[in-house]
Amino acid sequence: MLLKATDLHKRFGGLQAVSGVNLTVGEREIVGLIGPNGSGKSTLLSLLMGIHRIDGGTVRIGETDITGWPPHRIARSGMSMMFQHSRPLLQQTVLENVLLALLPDSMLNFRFSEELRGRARAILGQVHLTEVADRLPGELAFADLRRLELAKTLAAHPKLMLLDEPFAGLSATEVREFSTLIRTMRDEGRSVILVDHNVKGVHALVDRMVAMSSGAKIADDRPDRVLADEQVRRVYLGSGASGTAVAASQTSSAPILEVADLTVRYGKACALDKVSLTARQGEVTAIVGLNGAGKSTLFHAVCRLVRSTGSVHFDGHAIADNTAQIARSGVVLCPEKRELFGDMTVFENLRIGGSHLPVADFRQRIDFVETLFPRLAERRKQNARTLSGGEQQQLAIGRALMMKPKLLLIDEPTLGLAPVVLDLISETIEKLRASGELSLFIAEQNITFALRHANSIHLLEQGQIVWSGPTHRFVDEVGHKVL
Amino acid sequence: MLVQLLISGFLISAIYALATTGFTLLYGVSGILNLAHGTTLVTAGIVAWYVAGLTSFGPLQIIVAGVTSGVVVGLLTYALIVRPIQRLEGLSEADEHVFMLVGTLLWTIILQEILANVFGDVPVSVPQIVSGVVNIFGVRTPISSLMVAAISWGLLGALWLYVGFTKSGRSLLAASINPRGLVLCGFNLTMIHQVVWIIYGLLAGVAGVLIAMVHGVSPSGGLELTATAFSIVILGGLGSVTGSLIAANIIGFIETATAYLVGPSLRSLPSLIILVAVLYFRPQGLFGRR
Amino acid sequence: MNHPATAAPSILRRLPFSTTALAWLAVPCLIALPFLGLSEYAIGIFTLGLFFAVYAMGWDLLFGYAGEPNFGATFLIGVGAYTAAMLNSNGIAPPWICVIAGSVMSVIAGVLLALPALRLRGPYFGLVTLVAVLILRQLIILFSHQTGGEIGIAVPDVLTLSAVANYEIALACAIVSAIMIVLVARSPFGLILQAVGQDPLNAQAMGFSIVKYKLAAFCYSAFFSGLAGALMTFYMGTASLNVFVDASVGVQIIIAAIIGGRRTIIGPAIGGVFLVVLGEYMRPFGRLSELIVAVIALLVLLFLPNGLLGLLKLKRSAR
Repeated sequence: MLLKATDLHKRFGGLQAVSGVNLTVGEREIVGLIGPNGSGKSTLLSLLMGIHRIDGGTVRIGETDITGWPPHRIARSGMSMMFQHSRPLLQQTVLENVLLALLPDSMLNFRFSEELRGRARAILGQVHLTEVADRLPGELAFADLRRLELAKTLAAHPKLMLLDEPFAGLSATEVREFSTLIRTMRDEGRSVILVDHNVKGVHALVDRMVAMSSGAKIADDRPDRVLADEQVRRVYLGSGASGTAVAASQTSSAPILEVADLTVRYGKACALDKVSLTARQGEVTAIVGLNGAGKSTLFHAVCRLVRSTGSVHFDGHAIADNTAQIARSGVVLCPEKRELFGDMTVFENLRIGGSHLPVADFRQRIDFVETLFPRLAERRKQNARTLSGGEQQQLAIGRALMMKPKLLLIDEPTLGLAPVVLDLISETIEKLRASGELSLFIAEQNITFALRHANSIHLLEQGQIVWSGPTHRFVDEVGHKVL
Repeated sequence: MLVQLLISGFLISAIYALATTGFTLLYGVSGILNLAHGTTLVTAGIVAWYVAGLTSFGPLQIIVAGVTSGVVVGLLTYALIVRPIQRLEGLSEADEHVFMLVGTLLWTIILQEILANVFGDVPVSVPQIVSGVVNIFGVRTPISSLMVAAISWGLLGALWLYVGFTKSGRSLLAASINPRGLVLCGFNLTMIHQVVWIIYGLLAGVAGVLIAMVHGVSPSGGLELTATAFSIVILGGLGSVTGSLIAANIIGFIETATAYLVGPSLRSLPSLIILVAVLYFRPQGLFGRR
Repeated sequence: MNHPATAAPSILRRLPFSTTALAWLAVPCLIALPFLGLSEYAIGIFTLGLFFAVYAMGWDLLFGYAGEPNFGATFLIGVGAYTAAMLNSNGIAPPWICVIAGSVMSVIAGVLLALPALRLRGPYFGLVTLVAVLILRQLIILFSHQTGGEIGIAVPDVLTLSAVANYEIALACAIVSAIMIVLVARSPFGLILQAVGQDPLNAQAMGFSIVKYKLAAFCYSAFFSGLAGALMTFYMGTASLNVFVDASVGVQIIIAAIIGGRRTIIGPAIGGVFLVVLGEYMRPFGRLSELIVAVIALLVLLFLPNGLLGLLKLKRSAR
C-alpha cells in the first residue's frame, strides 16, 4: 500500500469541505478522482500534499505517517503535485524551470552541475519539450506549458503524483498524448491520483475511480462500475426522472440576446472559441456542459467582466461596455460564487440590489422577492455570511431580481444544493417564466435540471458549441454524449 | 487629577478618532495605505492658519478653507499618485503595494517641501474660535477644547448616519465588503473611489484644522502624524472603522496618562510598545479583516 | 487564481551586450575615477554613493528575488554601524575587527528580526521591519550613556585620512558585495529564492522550505548592510541616528533600488550612486533640492517603473 489516508476531515469556516474520507492508493496504480464542483476533490488533494492543515484523520506513505507535515517535507518524501494553473518562473528558461525541481534542499547550492543539467534534459525529452528547452515560458503554447508543469512534477522521481485537472484546456489530441504520458509514468513504477471533470475521457485511463460528493466519498471501484452507480449518476446528472416536458421554443419570439463569434483567450488558453447563440424573449435558455467547458466564461464575456472578441447584442442593440452599465440596462448576472455582501444582513443585500429603483417600486419589489423566497423574509436581519448554502443562493437570485432585470443570467443555480432547495429553485424558475416579465438564461452542469426547465439548450464542450436546439430533441440527438 | 486625565484623554481621543477614520475608510474601500495622510492633515491646518491671518475671516470661512484644501490634496493624491500606479502594467501585486507606499511617501516629501518653501518650516496654529473656560468636576477646561471634541464626534456621527442611511453611503460599505458584488448590482466603482477620496479629504481637512487649533502643525510634522495614525489603525485593525474608533480612544487615554504620570517626552513610547505587541501577537488588530 | 504573466522578465537577460563585458569595462573606470581631476569633496560624494549602492543591492536581493519588501534596512545598517562605533570608541578593538564585528552583529540582528517577521503576510512584514527601526532609535536614545544618544558616537580611529584611499576602500566594498550578491542571485540558490518569492506554493510543492530560504536571504543581505554600515562609520568618523538609524534613509534606499531597476542587483547599485550624486547636485538649490529630487524620483516611478535599466530594455525592444 503506497498511500493510505484514513478518515480525513477538513472544515473551512461553516463549510465541511471533506468529511470522513478514506483513500488508498497501491503501487503502479492510476486513481481517478471525480465529483461535481464543491465536492471536495481539490481540497482532498491539497490535504494530501499538506497545503491545507488536516482537521482530523491520518495520512501515511508506506510506513511513514505524514499527517501534519509541511508541503515541502511531503514533497521530499516522494509525493509531488501538478497544479491546475501553470505557474512557471517567467524569467527563466524552460530548462531552468525543470532544473529548479531537481535541486536538492540545500542552501549551499552554488553551481548547476552537468549531471543535473543532463537529468533535466532527459525529463524534457520524456515530455517532448526538447526543442523549446532554451526558450522562455512566455513563448510557449498552452499545451507545452502544461507539459512543463508535468515535467516539474516528474523531476524528483516521485512515488506518487497528484494531478489537479491535467487535461483542462487541452484539445482532444493533446488529451490523448497526455494520457499516454501518464500511462508511461505508471509503467515506470509510479502511482497517480488525478482529478478531472472530464469523466468520460478519464475513465479509459484510470485503473480505479473514486467519486465524491459534498465532501464525502460515494463510490470507489472500477471505472465502469462507478459510472453505472445510481448515486453517482444522480449527483452528476440530477435525478433520473426527466420530468414533464417543457413547451418547445417559439421561434417567433424575438431574440433578447444574440451572441456571435464570441472568443475569449486567457493568455494562451482558449476558453471560448467562436461561440454563437441566441436566447429568446420570455423563454428559459440553458447552456450545459462539463466544468471547464466555458459556461461561466460565456456569461462573464457577455457581461464584459472579461475581454472578448465577437459581438453581443441585447434587445437589438450592442451591449454596453462595462458591467455596471450592463446590469442597469437589464442584463443581470447571478454568478457561481454568488458574491454576496457577507457582513450585511439579508435585507441590506436586497436593498443594495434595489438601489436604482424609485422608492415606490422598491417596496413592491421587496415584497415580490420575499414572497418568492419566504425564507429570506424570515431571515431579514441575519448576516448573509451565516446563511446556509441554499439560502445564500436564494439571496443571490433575490438580489439580482431586485434590479428588475429583463434578462437574468444564473450561473449554476443548483450547485451544491440539497434536493429540497433544488425543488424550490425549480418552482422559482417556473414562476419567473410564468410572470412573463423576464427571460432566463441558465448555465448548468446538472443536465436533468436543465432539461426540465429550458425551452432551448446549447451544449458547450471545450469552449465550443457542439449542439443547439429545442429541448425535446436533446436527449435523442446528443443524450448519449452526456448521460 | 483623575478627572483631569479623563477629560484630556477624552479630548485627545476625539481628535485622534477623527484623524484616523478617514485613513481607515480609505483602506477599507480602496485598499490604499495613504502614507501622505499626515501631510494632508498638516496642509489643511496650515491653510487654515494662513486664511485666519489674512483679514478677519470668520471661523466658518477658516474651517471651510482648511477642509477644501484637504479635499483638494486628497483628490490630487488620487489623480497624481494612486491612479497612475494602478494603471501601470507588468506590476505584480507585491510590486504595486510597494510602489503605492513609496509613491505616497514621495508625495509626502513633495507636499512637505512645497509647504515649507511657501510658508516656512515652523509650527503654526489656528487661533481658538471661542475663548473662556468652564468648570467640569473641578477642572478648568477651555471651551474651545470642548468644542473641538464636539465637532469631532459630531462629524463622526454624521459619517455614521451617512454610511448607514444613504444610498451612496451604503454603497461605500458594500464596496469595502465585496467590490465585485457591487459592480454586478450596477454600481460604477470608479465613482465610488472618487467619493471615498472626497470623504477622506473632508475628514482629513477638518481633523487638520482641529489639530492646528489644539496642538499646532508644521510641514515636517506630517510624517509623525502619519506614524501615530498608523499605530492606531493597526491596533484597531486595518479596514475596520469601529476598530479605529476604539483604538483611538485607547491610545489617546494611554498617551495622556503617560504624559501626566511619567513625563511628556515619553508620550509616544506606549503606543510603540502596543504596536509591537499587536504585530507580534495579533497582527490583524482588534477587528481587522483584510 | 494567478495570472502568471504579471512578473516582469529580467532585464539583464535582454541586454544587447554581456553584463560581464560591461563590468570589465566599468570597474577600471571606477577605480580611476578619483584621478580624473575631481575635488576631494566630489570624491567624498561618490564614496557615500558607493556605500549606498551596497545598501540598495542588499535590498534588491530581498525584494526583487525573495519578494520581501524591507522597510527597515536602516535597522540592519544601524546595528552594524553602532556595533563598530561602540567597540572602537571603547578602545576594545582596532577598526578592521570592529567592521567584521559589525557585520556579524548585523546578521544576528537580522535573524532576530526575521524569525518572527517572516510569519506575517502582506503589508505586516514591511510594517514590522519599519517598527524595528523605530524601536532601535528609541533604544539608542534610552541608553544614550553608552550609545551617545541623539548626538552619536565619535569614532577615534580612522581607516585612512586620504579621500582617495577612502574612495577606493568603498569601491572595493561595493565591488566585492556586487560580485558576491550577483553570484548568489544567479546561482541555484538564487533560482530557489525567486521561486520562493514569486510562487511560494509551487516552491513548497517542489520541496523547498519558504522560511529557511527567506531567512537565509535576509541574513545574507544583513551581512552586507552591516559591513557597509560599519565601513561608512569609520569613513564619516561618527555613528549617528540621522544617518544610520533613520526610517527616511531606509525609504531612500528603496527609491534607489526601484529607480535603478528592481530584480537586477546592478540596477539598484547604479540607482544608489545616482540618488546620492543627484542629491548633492541639487544642493545649490537650497531648500528646493529635496523637492526636486522627490519629484524626479516620483516621475521615474510612474514613467519608468522598471527603472533606469528599463530604458535600455525599451531601446532594445524598439528594434
